[in-house]
Amino acid sequence: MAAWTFHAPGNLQDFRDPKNWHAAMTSETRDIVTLLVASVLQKNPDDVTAADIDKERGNLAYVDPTVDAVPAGAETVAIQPWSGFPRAVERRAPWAEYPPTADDASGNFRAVEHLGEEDFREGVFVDRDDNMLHLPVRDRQDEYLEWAARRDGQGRIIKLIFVAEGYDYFATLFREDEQRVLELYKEFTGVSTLKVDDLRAPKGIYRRLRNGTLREVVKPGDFNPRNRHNINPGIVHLSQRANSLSAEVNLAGVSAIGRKKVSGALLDGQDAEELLCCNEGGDPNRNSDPLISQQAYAQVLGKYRYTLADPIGLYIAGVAEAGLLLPDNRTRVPREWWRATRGSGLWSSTSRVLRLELEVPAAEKLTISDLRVAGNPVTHSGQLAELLSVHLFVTRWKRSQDSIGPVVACTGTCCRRGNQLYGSDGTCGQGDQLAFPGLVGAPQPAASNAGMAKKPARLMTR
Amino acid sequence: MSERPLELDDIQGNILAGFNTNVQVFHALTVVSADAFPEACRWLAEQAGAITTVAEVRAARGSMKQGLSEAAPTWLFLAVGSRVLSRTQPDLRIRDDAFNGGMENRAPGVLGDKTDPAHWAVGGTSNPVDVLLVLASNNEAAAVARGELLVASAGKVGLRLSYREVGRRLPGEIEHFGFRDGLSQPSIAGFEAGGEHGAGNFVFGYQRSKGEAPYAPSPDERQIADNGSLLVLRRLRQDVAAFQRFCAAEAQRLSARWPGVRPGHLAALLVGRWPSGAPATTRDADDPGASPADNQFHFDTDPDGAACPFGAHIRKVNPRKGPRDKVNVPRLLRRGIPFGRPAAQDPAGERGLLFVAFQTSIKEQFEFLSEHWMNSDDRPASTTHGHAHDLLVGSNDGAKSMTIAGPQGAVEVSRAEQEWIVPTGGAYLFAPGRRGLAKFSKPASKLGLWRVKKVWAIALDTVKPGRR
Repeated sequence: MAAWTFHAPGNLQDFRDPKNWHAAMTSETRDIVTLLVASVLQKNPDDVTAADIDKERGNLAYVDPTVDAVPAGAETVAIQPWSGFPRAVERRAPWAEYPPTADDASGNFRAVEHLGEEDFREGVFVDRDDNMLHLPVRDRQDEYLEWAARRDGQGRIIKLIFVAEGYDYFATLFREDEQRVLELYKEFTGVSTLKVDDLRAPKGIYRRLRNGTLREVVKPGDFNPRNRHNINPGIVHLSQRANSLSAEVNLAGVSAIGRKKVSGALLDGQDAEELLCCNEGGDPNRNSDPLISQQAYAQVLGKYRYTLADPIGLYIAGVAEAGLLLPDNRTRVPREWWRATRGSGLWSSTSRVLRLELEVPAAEKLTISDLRVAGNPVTHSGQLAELLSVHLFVTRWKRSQDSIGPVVACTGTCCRRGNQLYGSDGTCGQGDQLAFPGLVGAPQPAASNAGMAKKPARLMTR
Repeated sequence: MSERPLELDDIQGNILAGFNTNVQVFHALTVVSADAFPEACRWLAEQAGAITTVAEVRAARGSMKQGLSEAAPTWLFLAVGSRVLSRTQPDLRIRDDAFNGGMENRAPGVLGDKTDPAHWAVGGTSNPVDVLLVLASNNEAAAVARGELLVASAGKVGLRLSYREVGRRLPGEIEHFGFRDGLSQPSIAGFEAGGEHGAGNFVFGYQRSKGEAPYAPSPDERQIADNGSLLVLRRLRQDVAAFQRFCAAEAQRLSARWPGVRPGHLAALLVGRWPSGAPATTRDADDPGASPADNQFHFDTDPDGAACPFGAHIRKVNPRKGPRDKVNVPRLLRRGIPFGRPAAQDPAGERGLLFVAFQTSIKEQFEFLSEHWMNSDDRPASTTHGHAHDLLVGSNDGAKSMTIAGPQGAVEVSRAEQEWIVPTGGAYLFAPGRRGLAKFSKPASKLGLWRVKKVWAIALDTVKPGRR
């Protein structure tokens, strides 16, 4: 065992006992290593033994730092920041349901504010008694950045809040200290009458798909990451299903192994969408997932070993501040108007900001709606989201051997419907096209590839 | 979905083929009063048969190269501004915030411009570009003469000449700093063998990526925008002496940590290419004298910016296969041409580049490259501890720095407020296809679906259901 501690994102001090967070992240990390070893050995992850892991872990690019010590010369580098405005929204433009207006020609700014359940497969939420639940969230804000605006009586924006904190962090904290989560909710929503039970899913949350399948989302009594207070007035943490720390760990992990096509050719990772379809690490329609995967994979090909840098987190990387001007459309907004209320280091390349607020000081007698983005008044909060970027960090070091480690087959591919990609085993719906031929062979009966495809259950709320 | 063949006899020639003539005379026209728009539109529609299509450029390219007589052929390109569309073609909405907002409005915040649009040489607050005419020829007199005729004709319908400038190619296809320009152009599927980029990235009505639906404005019931493109015109003044002084001074300053570094090498690293067009690296101190024939080189073998700095201009605007922060790299079809005499011939004169670029989304293509990459310190890629400002073109407040991996360790090249490329005007325009332009004289149906959609949009905007 190595002396390593997983600290809370941004070195926050929410946990009474920091070991609880460490334990949660340790489990996540071990899950990923198990999954990678399963891939190498062509086994079902449930069948991977401790001996298997001991034998294989030294070859993997991804390192469990609680087991293998990070060498002294390792460097911590930021993954290239990606735009916080969802690429999936941009790709669906122009939006037929949002006709052009003077301040939103494409419809993107209205589309991105959508509240709904698009982040889950078609179906309905129910509790354990089969009562239907309506749990809309910011389902299109899927780049690990979500936001909310506070408006005055005239509809003018007086405060904008951006968050990059995974809901699973709050779920883990809730298990240890419900009162601390309640405190944070009261502080960030301004609703002093909130109670712990307002944040709980007393009878659990399940997704009943159209084919009748029932999937557990939240266990009875656990934290409800889709609670309405995080949406309105909001905002405390990320809400979109894919915006979790667990997803980040998973993505960094599945990208940490060489991938080959059916022909045996090594994937060079140049096409980020192709790589993500191959390793099934996330949503290829986003900016974040393909880019994280691509950059992690570049470490593999560069003969590095790596782990997600402590404290593991998704962070607001920065603000393209030149894009936000005072009403004269010439002068930059002072940096002091931006306030990092969780995390720190906003104006540095190593920013670990988790929550960022923009507010005009009262003495200025202005609202955010008076400010200018691209020459226009701020009428939609998405105008500001386009100026923000998100990043994460890895700690890496060169392998001692001249090797990239094990190379395994792709576990999936993607089909293209219109301008959207979706994961596939090689079979596409009618009228759709196989986006990346050659990643997988002809679809096989489910039993024959179960060892590769099955992933361990996530330990947090996904 | 099968790909639609490109309609080369309808798309304007400068968009896909590029005029590539020795001379291009630019004319900006401004509608003198609101009631002149309808008549101006009729005049525009009359020009539909005169604009040069891609097919015509291709057919006449050979003769153009030899045509230096008075009767030399001239080619016409035409584009219109957002005022023309919004006032006369209400059933068409270009769904691009940049085009609708206008360059002068967005230049300070998006492009980082410091110059006042009220004083621009072309466009700006007092001289909006409603119509742009470009006459291309290898014979300057012929282009000038045809331009004068068109301007005189336009004047009769309330189109005032607000700007005229002659662009001339410099020997060796260089721009005024001495570097070969326009080398790297996206190859277009359906237009050239092995084309990589969907035509819909540059022309409305085609796929942007394979398998996608055609990309087109909506609403556009009469298909006015079909085969059209969005144009960025940007007049960039270049201060050659200031650029050379900077490179010389920085080479001198860095000589202790980088013995023997020459100003020319530093300039090449700022650009990312040598004057010949060959890719520049920290390792090679001399211009190899020729660019790769197929322009095929990539940065995937240079993931840390050790050979070509992340801040080098060509790496900022096209990271090729190197690290980046965006899945789809936005591309432009660049058709610029220098203006002004070379500095050696006329040191006191004004010179620069008439930057011209075509795309189907100014916001997602030109503006993205400018705001998020060229004007950024760390995008599309950088190292955690390095700076990656585009010192050549990027615009930022305060000091800017580029980290270069010198032979004895990283060095910083920095500049303060000194600007050697200064924007002095421009406009966002729409270049219609021949058929679309011919429809300008026909009024939109008063009861069309477009009007229902417009009312719907206004109603939705009033309710603002998504606002929180």
